[in-house]
Amino acid sequence: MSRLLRRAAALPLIMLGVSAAVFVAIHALPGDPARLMAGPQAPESTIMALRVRLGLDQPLGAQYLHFLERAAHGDFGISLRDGSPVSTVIVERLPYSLALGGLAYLLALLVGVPGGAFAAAREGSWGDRLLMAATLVGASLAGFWVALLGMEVFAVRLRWLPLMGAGDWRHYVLPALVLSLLPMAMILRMTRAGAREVLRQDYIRTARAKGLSPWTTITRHALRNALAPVVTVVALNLGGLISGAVVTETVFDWPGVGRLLVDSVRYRDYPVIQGVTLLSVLGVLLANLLAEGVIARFDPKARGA
Amino acid sequence: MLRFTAGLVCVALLAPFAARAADDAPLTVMLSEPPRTMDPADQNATETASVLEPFYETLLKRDAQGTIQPGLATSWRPSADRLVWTFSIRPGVRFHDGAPCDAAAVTRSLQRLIDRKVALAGASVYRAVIASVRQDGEAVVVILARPYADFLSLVTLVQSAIVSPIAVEGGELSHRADGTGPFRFVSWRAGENVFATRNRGYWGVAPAIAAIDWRWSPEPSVLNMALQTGDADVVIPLAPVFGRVYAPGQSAAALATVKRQRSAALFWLALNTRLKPLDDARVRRALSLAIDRRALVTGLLDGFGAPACHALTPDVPDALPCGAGEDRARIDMARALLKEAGQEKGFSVSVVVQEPEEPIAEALQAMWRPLGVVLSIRRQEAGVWVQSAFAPPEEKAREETGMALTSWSAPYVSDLQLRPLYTTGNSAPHGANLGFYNNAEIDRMIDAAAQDNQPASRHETLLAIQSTLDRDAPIVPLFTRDTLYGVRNGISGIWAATEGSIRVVDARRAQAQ
Repeated sequence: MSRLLRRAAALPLIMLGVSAAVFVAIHALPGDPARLMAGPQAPESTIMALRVRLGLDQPLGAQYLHFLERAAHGDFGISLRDGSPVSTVIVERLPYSLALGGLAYLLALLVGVPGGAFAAAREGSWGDRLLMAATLVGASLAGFWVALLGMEVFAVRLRWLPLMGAGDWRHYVLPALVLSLLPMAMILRMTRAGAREVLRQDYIRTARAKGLSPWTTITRHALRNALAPVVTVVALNLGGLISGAVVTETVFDWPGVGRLLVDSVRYRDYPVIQGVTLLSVLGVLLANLLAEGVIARFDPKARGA
Repeated sequence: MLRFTAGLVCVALLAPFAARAADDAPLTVMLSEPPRTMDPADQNATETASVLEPFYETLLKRDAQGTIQPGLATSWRPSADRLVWTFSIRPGVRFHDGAPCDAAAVTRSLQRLIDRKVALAGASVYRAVIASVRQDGEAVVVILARPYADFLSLVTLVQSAIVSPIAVEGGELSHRADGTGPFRFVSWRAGENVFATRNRGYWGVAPAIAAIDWRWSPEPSVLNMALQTGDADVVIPLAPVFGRVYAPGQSAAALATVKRQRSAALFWLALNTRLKPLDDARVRRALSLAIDRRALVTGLLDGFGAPACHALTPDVPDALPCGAGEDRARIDMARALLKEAGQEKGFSVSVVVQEPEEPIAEALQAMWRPLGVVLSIRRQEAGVWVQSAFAPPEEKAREETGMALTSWSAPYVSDLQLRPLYTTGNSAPHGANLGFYNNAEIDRMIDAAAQDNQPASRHETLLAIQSTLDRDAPIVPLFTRDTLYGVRNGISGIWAATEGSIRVVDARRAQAQ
């Protein structure tokens, strides 16, 4: 616990370092927001005046200090594109990304864990082979392509699901399914590999010798140990939920943070890029802490490390 | 029989209500990108103009035929030297916030437009042309810095739309539209939509539809699917490849209709006139001659466009049309010119291009191969492209950037098509003369044409400009791309403007819907 607290205490310092790195990296991007706003025909005088208006004429160091001063008060600046406060823009979008990403991971776990356990219990069977082939396909298919195919089949031809946008539960089905494919395949394979390893242990043999069925052996004894790496990976990936669904959100017209990031990079909206990136970094750091806590819970050896 | 008659009477009585119910459903319009702002003067994007047009009005406006009509100004008159323009302001008009849109408000809006301290992104041409604006009773007087023949066209553009002084003072115009248009702003959920409802206090003819729901997707196939499912009533632009999907006889034709508008969206190639061998006008002309523009339009646009052979687009009355055979490759003439320039063995050159325009560069690569010209394509993300294309001469020389491929739309105003691209003062990085073309005679002629109010002499000057630019070929015009848009069947009154924006305020649903 003390180790976790030490890590948590270091968060502000890490965030400060990350904010400096992000600030420099964003401003090193080629492309001038003023030129992108004004369009190709705008003369240099307009571009210069816009830079002054947007505060981009200040030295980089001064811009960074100004940013830190505001960020300390919870103000991440104003969007260069529409003048809205960055925090408001992100807060509006965050629930959509968390809901979609959370649902996708829930789906992935609900299918991946039992699927992996089944494949391990029936290793070498047709069911195992079929599942392994399916995970290979699921992990290899481009999300973009699957999304368009799903839209064409279920929204355009069958009219079962809405095409895009965020609304009632039906709007979640296609994007969540598409987003869950990769983690589902990953979790299923990891569960299978972990369970296979555990099933060879002596205590499993003992459990079987006691007369427990293979399924009971797996669910009661093998899964608890086999799931440790799965839970760790899932916990680490939770940080990516904030801005990780860029393609899915773009194709499905989903008003999340990933799409906001893409649009902001396109128009070089520095304050928004910065806000989203810092939030994502914070998410990853918190997910790391969570993962460490989870590992410590599953593996007593890790508690004292 | 009695039942039948009673039924007919009921239908007749309820028909107006049924029609109203149909029009009460919002009209959903899908674009390829979100609006960039709600401030009409602070943008130059076609999609943003589409969204803003129902909220705002300009002093004058263009109808679907391109004719200038009264807008917020009921009449206008120039001084003898055409330097002072007096606009009579329509009485009784109010902004959506309830403030009167009188001469004082119009004056303040135009003064803000030309205020250098406000630095609005879409206002540069107004700052260059307008010296000052003042109120004169119920009229507004605009004093020009120099004569400008296309001045009336400038006050039809959405950038000059009249904005509410209350919204300006409140500092909320960038994210909350406030004008006098037939629709009033309700909300802008940045990731989702812009919603507008009918302005019940509108001074003109009230719109038939109750609301507009603007949505967007960057993916062309999603736009097409949205039109088919009914998620969108109107989509713009529709990629040319989907034009055939709605052709008569196809199943999708029962759902929607594809419409086509000739557009001023010119695609062109800027040649670096400081880089060898492109510093030789003969080489540049040879490259232009070797391009089969008709094949570009057929192959890349499925025929939805027109070859562009000269500097001005066809919507400008003084534009030179493509002559016989000019839109076809003339390889022999190109070879002769290259030989004359000592480049008969060909050369290598690079072009910077954004991802959507890469197929054009690939087609040019093939068309120039017979001349021995090897074109290397540098595909770049939009921001990186801007950096490369607007780089100063020494940086372009260091990067060996020979060409930049791009497009834009500046309809009706010849000065807006010529000045940014060809005048010395607009050489990159200061402006869009990306190839650093420098010709004092062209500078003088462009100034003369902009200021000349006599149509005949102006026409002569514009023809001379186009001929000189054909000879010098600092820019190679390729084609203009038509605006394709899809409209669900049963909806009428939608049209696209020449610059590519969509006009939906007169939309109406058929009663059957």
